Amino acid sequence: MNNLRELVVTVFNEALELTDSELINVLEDDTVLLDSGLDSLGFAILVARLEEELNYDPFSIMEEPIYPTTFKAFLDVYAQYADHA
Amino acid sequence: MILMDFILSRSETSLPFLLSTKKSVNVDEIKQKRFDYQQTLAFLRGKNVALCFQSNVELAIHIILLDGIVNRLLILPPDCLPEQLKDYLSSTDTEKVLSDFLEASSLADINTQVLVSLKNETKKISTQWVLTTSGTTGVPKLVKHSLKSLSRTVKVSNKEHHFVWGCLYHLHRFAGIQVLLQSLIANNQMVIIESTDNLSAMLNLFIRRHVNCLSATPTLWRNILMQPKSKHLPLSQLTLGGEIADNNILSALMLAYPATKIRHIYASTEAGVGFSVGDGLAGFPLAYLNGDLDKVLLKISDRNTLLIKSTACSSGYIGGEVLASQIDYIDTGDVISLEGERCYFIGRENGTINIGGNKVNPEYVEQVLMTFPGVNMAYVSAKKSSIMGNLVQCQVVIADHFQDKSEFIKQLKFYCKTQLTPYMIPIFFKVVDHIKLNSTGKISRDE
Repeated sequence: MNNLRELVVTVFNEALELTDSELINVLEDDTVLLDSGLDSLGFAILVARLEEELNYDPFSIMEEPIYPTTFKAFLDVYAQYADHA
Repeated sequence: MILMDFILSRSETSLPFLLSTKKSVNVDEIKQKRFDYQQTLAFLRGKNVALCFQSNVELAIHIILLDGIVNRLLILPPDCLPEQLKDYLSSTDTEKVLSDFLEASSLADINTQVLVSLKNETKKISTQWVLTTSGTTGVPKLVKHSLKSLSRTVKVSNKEHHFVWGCLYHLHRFAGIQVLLQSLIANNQMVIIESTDNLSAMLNLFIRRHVNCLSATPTLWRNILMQPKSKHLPLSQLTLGGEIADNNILSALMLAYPATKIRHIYASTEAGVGFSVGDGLAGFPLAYLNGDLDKVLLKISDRNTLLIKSTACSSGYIGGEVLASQIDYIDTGDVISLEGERCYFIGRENGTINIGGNKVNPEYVEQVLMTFPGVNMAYVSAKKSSIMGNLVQCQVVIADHFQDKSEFIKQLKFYCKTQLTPYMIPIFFKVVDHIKLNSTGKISRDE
């Protein structure tokens, strides 16, 4: 789980850099993803880059559609579908 | 009727009918502006005028003031590249450009400032409206419309129910114009957002102004659902348009807004208005191909593209070419796949990549990549995205003498940032030995 969190944070920072954005506050569990500084293109890049790293994209395989609001909820979605890797 | 007639027929002249984070506009203010600008309006009468605005509210005000006054109204995207802007202006014989950000000197080398003698006529004329297709790149087309052809689907309801429209598209887009005309003509209110507003501020405004009809792309809807406050939107109807709506976003919206009427819209600028699907599923029922739609006829071509014939067809392209639709069906270029009783949209036949509603021509990005020293060849394609529909990815063949490939790609990425708008920049770069060509020597785009 910690590894997942570290990976997500690394890729999150890459996505910020690619879109010339900056983190508004420290990334915490209850940070609202789209208020973090990452825009919608940055978020799409984050999900695409994570798919490269993890070999799965929970948003394309999930049965019950969930669009997470917070960073914690985002991590939970990835943890929930980890067996699809 | 011209657009101003609809505005002046509103009974509550002090009630704002356009609202944004920065300003609101009511009938009295429109009357005042018409008075203040009377000399300019007289000067513009009968001319070909282009509007290029970053501010959506200013664009809306200018559209209202100029319909029925000018001969031709060209509505341009604010982010178009300088050369393309000049192409648009010269191919429409535009004499005057009104803008909230362009400098007069930037157009000094083209003939857009031709003066014509002032006329004192007060007669209303039928203004031709010109919209651009397919975003900011690719092979752009300018499509001619009239207020009548653009407002054919406007629904004027006699019910007591008060509609407040929210629109998340820039108004130069066909979908944006549709929402503007719906609210202006049907005596509804409209909340306008500016590109400088962030999504959170937009949602606050929508909630505060009781927006109950909201139109956005599937990508924006995903973003809206990711905002905790989205559950406070008092929506009675919502629409998705501008890109392919998948089952995930449709079911997520049904879960979030169980009592709301949800429709996804298919429309192309060329075809005028297309049709909407309200059964909550992606694609559209096969029955639509058998004449099940009002005012719209559909067929599938032998290349699996959707053909459409609508009574709200535009009056043709700028440049003389007559739209086949005036006689027959228009080929939309959207590829369809049939599965059982359902038709699904697959993508564009010409390879145009739709990124959250922004369309990118892969050949344009390839040309930019190949202007970077050391890139011998480039192949740009779509990378499927569950968040934005698609993203851009590329393969490049680089000159032999570059040993450090990762440093080269780093430089190339930096170069792309200086040359391309953010959504056009490839997110994956792969260095390859060769790029597959087809028998005519062009990049093979079938994969």
